[in-house]
Amino acid sequence: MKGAIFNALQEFVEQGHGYQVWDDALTNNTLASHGIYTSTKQYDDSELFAIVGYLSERLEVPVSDLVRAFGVFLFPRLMPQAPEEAQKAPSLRAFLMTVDELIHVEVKKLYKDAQLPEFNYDDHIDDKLTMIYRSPRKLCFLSEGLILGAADHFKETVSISQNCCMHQGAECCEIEVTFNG
Amino acid sequence: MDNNEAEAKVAALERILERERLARKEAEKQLEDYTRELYQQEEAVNHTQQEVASQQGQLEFLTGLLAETWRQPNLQKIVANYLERTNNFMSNAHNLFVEIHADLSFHQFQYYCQASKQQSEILPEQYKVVLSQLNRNKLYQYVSSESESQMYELGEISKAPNTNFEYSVMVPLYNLDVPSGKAVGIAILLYESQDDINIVKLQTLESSRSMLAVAIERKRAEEALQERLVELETSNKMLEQTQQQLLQQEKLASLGQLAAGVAHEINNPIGFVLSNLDTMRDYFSDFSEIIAPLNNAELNSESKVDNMLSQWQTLDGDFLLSDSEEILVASVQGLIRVKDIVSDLSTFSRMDNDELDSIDLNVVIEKSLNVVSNEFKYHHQVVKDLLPEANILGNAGKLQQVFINLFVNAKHAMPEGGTLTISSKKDRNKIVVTVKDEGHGIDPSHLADIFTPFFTTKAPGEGTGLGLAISYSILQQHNAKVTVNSELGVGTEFEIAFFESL
Ligand code: HEM
Repeated sequence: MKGAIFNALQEFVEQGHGYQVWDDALTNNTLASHGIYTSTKQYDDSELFAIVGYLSERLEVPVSDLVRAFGVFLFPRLMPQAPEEAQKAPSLRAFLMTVDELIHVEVKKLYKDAQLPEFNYDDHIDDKLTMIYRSPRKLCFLSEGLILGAADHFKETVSISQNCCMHQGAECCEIEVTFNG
Repeated sequence: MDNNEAEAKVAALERILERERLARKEAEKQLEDYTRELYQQEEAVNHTQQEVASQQGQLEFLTGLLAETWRQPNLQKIVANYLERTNNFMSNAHNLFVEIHADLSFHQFQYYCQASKQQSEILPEQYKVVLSQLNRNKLYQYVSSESESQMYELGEISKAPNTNFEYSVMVPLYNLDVPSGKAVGIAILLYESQDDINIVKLQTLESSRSMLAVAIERKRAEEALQERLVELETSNKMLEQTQQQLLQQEKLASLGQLAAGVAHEINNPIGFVLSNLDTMRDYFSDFSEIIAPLNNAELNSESKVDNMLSQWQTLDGDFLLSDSEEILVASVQGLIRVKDIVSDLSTFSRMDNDELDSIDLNVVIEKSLNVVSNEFKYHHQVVKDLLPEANILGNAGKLQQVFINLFVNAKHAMPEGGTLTISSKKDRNKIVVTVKDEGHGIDPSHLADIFTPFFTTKAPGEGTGLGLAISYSILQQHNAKVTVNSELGVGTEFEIAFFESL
């Protein structure tokens, strides 16, 4: 996971719960990085999961909700880095279609060591879009949050549900986005 | 806020600050690494770019030289082109060319001077000086023994010091055999200072040499080939002319032979008819004497008869009468033979090439067969196996005469009957007609003579001996080749090969 994601998470925690919570999360875990994150470097995924696990317990919020909320917070920080073509997408739906084959492809070009999920799309229903998520990191809730963040950006409202989820032992997560206008 | 709480906050802040500081250092270090990496990459790119540019320059020089060298019409132009190209490529060298012969004489000066990049006819003074001071012996020794370019300090190869140039590179371009012995072509690069020498470019120049040598070799071979070709063409033309003359002579010869034979053959009967007539004149005066009493008015009828009778006895009138008859018969026979010969000859006249048309040989053969069909009606068979199409250059009337002659001969060879076979086949650009009989065959000792005029094995009066001779002459005028195969008791086969017309 990129240092930038940890930096964003730090911001997210400090803004919501104060810097002491963030400091506690780091000091209460044995981290290979000693909690020192530089945005362009790559850090072990387990550090993220350890921090999130601690926060969930400390704040008494389920991991899923915490990660989803972080996704909403993260999106506006990622968006400016997206390729122009994606930024100029005419709608949320059109934008979401660009994530796998444009946005993340460009990310991969910039950072050879980036670890990105794989998305497949089922768009055969007009007002729905199912993004089929696959990743060893099982961060489907982060996706949900990012999608919600994107909806805010495009000033659209959506409802999200998962028909099946890797956390329930499925092979992939089917994130169904319903566009409500 | 109690003290502990405050201390904890401060401690947390300090830790956060420390992390922040370390993260920044980390980031700065990364930045430095990136910057260094970037710089090195840029260096590498620049270096590769230069390398590529210089390689491209070398490649351009080599390919350009190659392409243009092949296009040059001769050795001199190849050298001129080489000098021009080299001059553009070796920007710091003065380029001269000289051919040195085994007697150490210089030939074919050419040069390119760097300043004007223009070639002019007059050799500038500074080059003249260099050339005149060169140790020719050493130079010739070197280029005729070494095949690689050689760099010299000018002093090493000159007889006197030179103030204009410090270094020279001798590039042997070619080594030819000329009437005066050997000629070596050398490009001479002159450098004002050592700093001007670019070793990499010199290496490129060196690698262009082998290609140039091949091109020069080829050009020379091409020139030689061209010469050979022209030679061949002339000798071919001469051959054709001689062949034409030979054919003409052969035609004349066969005509001459014919004429000589005709003269002889006609002379014979005419000779004896003449001597017969001479005898007949004597006999005539004898007869006149015998009947002279008839006109004597002094004698009566009875004594006239008595006188004539006694004269008859004295002059042997019986003999005169019978001999006269013999003489007349023989003379008539002799004149008939003359008449036959003349009539045979009248069908034969000299034919010119422009009388040859494209004709269908099949038609000629059919027509000839029609003429003689009566002869083969009862005891003979005629078998034909002809090409569907057989066009040749020829004279239909004359060839008909030839075939009729051959068919009639065939019939005479088979008095008891038999088969006449006429076939034709193609053999490259020729059409070969075979006329075959199952007759008594030709005696091997006669084979060589069958085309000789007046040679005949037939009984006197049956043939003039002119038929085959005339046929042969006609065939020769068609440039047709005749071959005879014959076996006694089995038959004879005439094979005639005509040129096909297109
Ligand atoms: C709604 C849109 C998006 C979705 C659903 C999405 C989804 C995700 C998820 C789930 C991950 C975590 C890695 C994983 O699961 O394996 C991720 C990583 C990442 N995404 Fe996106 N993403 C979106 C938009 C963007 C945009 C606009 C950018 C901007 C360029 C971006 C850049 C990245 C980067 C840099 C990472 C981190 C890669 C690493 O840690 O090596 N994403 N994305």
